[in-house]
Amino acid sequence: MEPPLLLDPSLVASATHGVAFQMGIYIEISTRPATLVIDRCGVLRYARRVTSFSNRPAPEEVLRIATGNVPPAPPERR
Amino acid sequence: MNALKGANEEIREFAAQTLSFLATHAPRDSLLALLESDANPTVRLYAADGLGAAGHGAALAERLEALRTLESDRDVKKHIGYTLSRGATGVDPRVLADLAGFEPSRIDSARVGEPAPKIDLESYSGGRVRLSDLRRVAPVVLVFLYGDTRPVCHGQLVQLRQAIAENPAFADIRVFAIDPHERVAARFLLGVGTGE
Repeated sequence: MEPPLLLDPSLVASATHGVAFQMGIYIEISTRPATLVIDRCGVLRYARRVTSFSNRPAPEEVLRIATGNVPPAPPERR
Repeated sequence: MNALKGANEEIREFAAQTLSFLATHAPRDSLLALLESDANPTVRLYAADGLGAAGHGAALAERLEALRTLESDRDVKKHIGYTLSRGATGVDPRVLADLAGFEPSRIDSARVGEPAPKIDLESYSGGRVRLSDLRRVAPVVLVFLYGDTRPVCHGQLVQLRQAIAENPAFADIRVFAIDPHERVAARFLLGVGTGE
């Protein structure tokens, strides 16, 4: 089963996360590719916002951060 | 409109983008003039978006078709097409309502180590998802998609799903993909991505 897909037609979620309308793509609107982790307490623990659609973090790395069993990530380079 | 008359191209592009967001309040003839004669394709692209968002696509159909034929930039051509396809409809009223209630200080406010911004979005499969409802229940991974490209955009979600299935330590993690575009979402879930 695919992960749930949430629709953000007004781009308020992507704008809040700093990834709205920042890439050209051959569809009408788009966002920068980004992967974020929020812990159980609702704190943002990881954010990787990139400029290439092929630049994605390793799934294991992201999921380990989500479990809370790794030290905090260094400051994000943007 | 005054910012569009300056010499700084970055400022002009930003002004055109802002104008496209405010399209329902922007003068139609000014947007059309930009689309017809501005030398910067990014400015022309946002002028086309502005005309589409305000629902001028139907009334200007003949003129827009002519401009699309003359247009040299591939992206601008496509966006003129989007404007034509919107016809007289313009921006969905629900989108306008979202934007009217959006506080600009929220832009780019998500910071690592700080409380995550609230997310309350409609799910493609129905219903709404509020991430605050999940707090203390499960850690959350959010993936902002770029498009429907395979194998990369789709592949990231497949790999996350597989890793969760294979490792019990990840079992309670919830993954959500976010995309602005319903059409992309539909193609994505049907597995008919572009393959790029």
